[in-house]
Amino acid sequence: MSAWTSQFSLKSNKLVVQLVLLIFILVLFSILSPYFLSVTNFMNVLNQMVEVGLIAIPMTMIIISGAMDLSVGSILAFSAVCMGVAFERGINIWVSMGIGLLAGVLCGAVNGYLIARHRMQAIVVTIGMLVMLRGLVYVINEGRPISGFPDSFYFLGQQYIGGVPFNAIFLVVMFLIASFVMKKTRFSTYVYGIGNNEEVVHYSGISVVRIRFILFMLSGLFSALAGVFLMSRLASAEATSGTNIELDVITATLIGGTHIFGGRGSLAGTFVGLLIIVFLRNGLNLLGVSVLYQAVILGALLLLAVGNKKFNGV
Amino acid sequence: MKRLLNVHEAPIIVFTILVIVLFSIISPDFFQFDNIRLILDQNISMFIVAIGMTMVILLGGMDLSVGSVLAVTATSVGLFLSHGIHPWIAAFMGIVIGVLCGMVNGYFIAVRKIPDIIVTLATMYIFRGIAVGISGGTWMTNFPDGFRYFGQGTLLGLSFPLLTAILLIGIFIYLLKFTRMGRRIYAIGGNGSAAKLAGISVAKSKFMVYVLTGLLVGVASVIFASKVGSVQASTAGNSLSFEVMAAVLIGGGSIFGGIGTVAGTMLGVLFMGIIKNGLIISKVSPFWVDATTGFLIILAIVINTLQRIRQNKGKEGDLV
Amino acid sequence: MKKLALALLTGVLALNLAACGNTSSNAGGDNNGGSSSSGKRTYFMNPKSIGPAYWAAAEKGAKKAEKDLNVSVLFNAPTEADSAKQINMIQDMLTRKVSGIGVSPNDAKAVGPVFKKAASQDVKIVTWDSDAPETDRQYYVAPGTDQEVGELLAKTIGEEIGGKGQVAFMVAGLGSQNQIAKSDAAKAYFAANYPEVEVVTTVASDDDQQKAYANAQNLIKTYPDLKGIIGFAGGEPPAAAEVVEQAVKAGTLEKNQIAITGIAVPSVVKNYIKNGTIKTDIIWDPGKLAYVTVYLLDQLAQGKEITDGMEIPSVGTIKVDGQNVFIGTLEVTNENVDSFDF
Repeated sequence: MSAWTSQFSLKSNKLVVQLVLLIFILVLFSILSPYFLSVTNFMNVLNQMVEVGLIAIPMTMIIISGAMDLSVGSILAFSAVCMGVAFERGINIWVSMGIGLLAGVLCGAVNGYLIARHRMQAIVVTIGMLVMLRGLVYVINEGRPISGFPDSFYFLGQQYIGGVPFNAIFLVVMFLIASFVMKKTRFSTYVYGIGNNEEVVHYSGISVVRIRFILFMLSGLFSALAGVFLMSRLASAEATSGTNIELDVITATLIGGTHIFGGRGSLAGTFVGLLIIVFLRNGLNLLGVSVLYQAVILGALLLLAVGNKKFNGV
Repeated sequence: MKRLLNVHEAPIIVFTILVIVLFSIISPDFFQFDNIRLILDQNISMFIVAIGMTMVILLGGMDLSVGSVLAVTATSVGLFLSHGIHPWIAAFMGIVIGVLCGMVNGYFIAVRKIPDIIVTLATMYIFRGIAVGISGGTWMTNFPDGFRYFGQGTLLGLSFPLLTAILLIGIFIYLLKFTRMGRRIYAIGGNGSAAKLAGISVAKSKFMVYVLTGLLVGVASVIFASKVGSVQASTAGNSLSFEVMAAVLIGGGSIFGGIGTVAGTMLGVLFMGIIKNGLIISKVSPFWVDATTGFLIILAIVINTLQRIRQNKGKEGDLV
Repeated sequence: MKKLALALLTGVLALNLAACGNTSSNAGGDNNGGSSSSGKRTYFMNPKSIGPAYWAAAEKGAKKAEKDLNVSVLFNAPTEADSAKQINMIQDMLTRKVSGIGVSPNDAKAVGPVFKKAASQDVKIVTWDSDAPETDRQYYVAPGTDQEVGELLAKTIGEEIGGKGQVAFMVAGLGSQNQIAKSDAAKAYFAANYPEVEVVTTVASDDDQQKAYANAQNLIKTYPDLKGIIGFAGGEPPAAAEVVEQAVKAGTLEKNQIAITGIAVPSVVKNYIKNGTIKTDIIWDPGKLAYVTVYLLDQLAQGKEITDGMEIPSVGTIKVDGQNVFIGTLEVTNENVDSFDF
């Protein structure tokens, strides 16, 4: 695992602080808890981080482009419940999954349409969507959890391949693809460009609207994917799933060094940020530290890990 | 007529009136003096916190920690009261704690120059942890009768919390409109580097704004605790920051700073309050309440944005 | 270099916090959270969330059991009642090789897979407060079934309002299983025994005190003929009582016009019960609930049998019905409200 991340980071030296922090956390908990440094525990953690990780991919891109999507948790629940309801109506599970993903993309498209096409403020639009979609979830299933999916579906979230959880493999592959896109393609140049100076991109004849639209659609799609994986892992679709997940996602992204005002950041950083918060939480859980202190520790870490960076501007 | 439409808050005023008319048609109970007083009464702490949030957003920042600050101050006021401290002193100390929280935010944002959202996201976690920690996991409740005055008392025949809110709104409208400090906030939000070059101490203004926000949240939390009668540290003010932010932006504020007014924000809070109250009064199914609320928020933003586009046409090259 | 130093400093700080968090959360019991598997049996008690007074009272009971039985008990949960976070935490605890877990599941179905995993590792599983039927859990500890509690609440309010009129329900979450089960049971009870009682609406507070308060305000405004309110979770009755008291004081309601009952911790509603705003409140001792759960886990871990009517020290006899263990409910009234210590 760590070999992989270090190889990943050779290209960007900016990750040094985050990596040191991650290694420090790993070493620290290995000393403090005899249960921490074990294959089962690590695989466990990987299995748990998938939902936050999947959403963190488009979130990183959106933050790089200088916007933010707060509706991801509600999209997650909305598409999960859509899928569950479709399945209850007797539709094949994989077709239902397609319906769930489609629902997510649609939500993303609504966000994208309002934000990109009509230049509305991303934060407000997505807060509105956050409230509305969560409400719609209750409308659709009247708050009752949906379960009883076929065993083949649980493969996604519960199956291990060669000792590694399938969903973690999926996450890593997604990160690699996304990272490739964000390093080698023109699309990434536009995303970074919009984050740095939207007007320049606009005047270079590139459709800012289209790029933003795509980003929010992606966010919808990945939130829906996260919903599918969460459902498969928990064997149940509930109205409350994904509540406050946006805060975890944004925290991981920021600890990973993505600049909140856009223009800078990397998916590799987000991945390391993600590992930092999940291992921190896991380690503290293993030590039996109350969640109250966990919140304080996470906050302090965020402040110190990100706080030492130089932010220019005002 | 045309001039009237160009008032910054015009669209949200029109939309609010439309919503009011709609609810009045659906339910005869809605448009009544009693109910209007109830709506105002339910949203007092929102009004007060929203004043602070308006200033923060004017600066181009945002404050995610207000809910947690509310929890810390309300919990500590509860603790002071349970130790038999006089209600007025406890309330005062609560406000002081609010100011201290604001200073912590302000220090990291203004002095250490860390972006607002990161600092307040971090302090959101930290203050919440502290709040639940000092509460020991139990509720703050069974407040003495003297303390009830802050949330339920009357002064000159008017409700004390409402008077407090009106007074604070008046003060801050004056501060933002007619004082140098207010103009500085608009200047920094409008164009930070220009404001800096014009000799404005950006750090000092930012620090002040966060301290004032802490103060306002402190006041709001005393009223909150007294009104609701019990405080649960882990959930008090949970969704407050998003709701207040939405209210500011519905009221015509811009997340990029420099645009917005306290009066507009108050309309935004009122709008949200009316929706929440109206949906229940008109006996909408509980499952539909949140969905409708979210839809109306988005609609309000759509209307706002249309207005802005209309106003800006001709002023500058359109970017779309 | 400076950055490196800062990062290290961050880590050290986190370590310090972790260390002090650790000692204070385990004070009095287990000396080190990290190395407790040797010798002492460890149990993980997992409520729905951390924060509500109800769970704080339960924690006291769990800690008492820890001392009495000379085992070590970890009491932890996420700060919000979120099923995914709860399950992550249970998984982490299975890694720690605890001997047993006592879980109050947020979602009865979602805990299925993790319970299966626990059972395969020979970890004892007992659910408490909320059940997860059709899983690998061995016992369910509760004051009574959701149906009994719901019916008891309906009976209480039906008697207080004289068998007819409008009643409103206040719940913590529209999606919460035990809230749905209790309110459905109450509705069915009204339909069967008090056909003239009309349940006008159900409002949800999402566990937010201010929202519960606003909900209650809107209720008495919307339904001027409202006769009763049932609060199905710890936060609802005090909010309803506060609103009614204020309305009585303001003169918009007459005293005793609206009867309130519900499930609430006595210390929270003490004043309302003394004022007569709440006549009867239904509760059980969450501390005893947790105590029994730990006790059962310890019995199971030692391979002992659980039998009906068995005596549990400092709790009393319990009723065992199949896989369900009931400790009984209590009615809190003006006469006995001072005798509760939670």
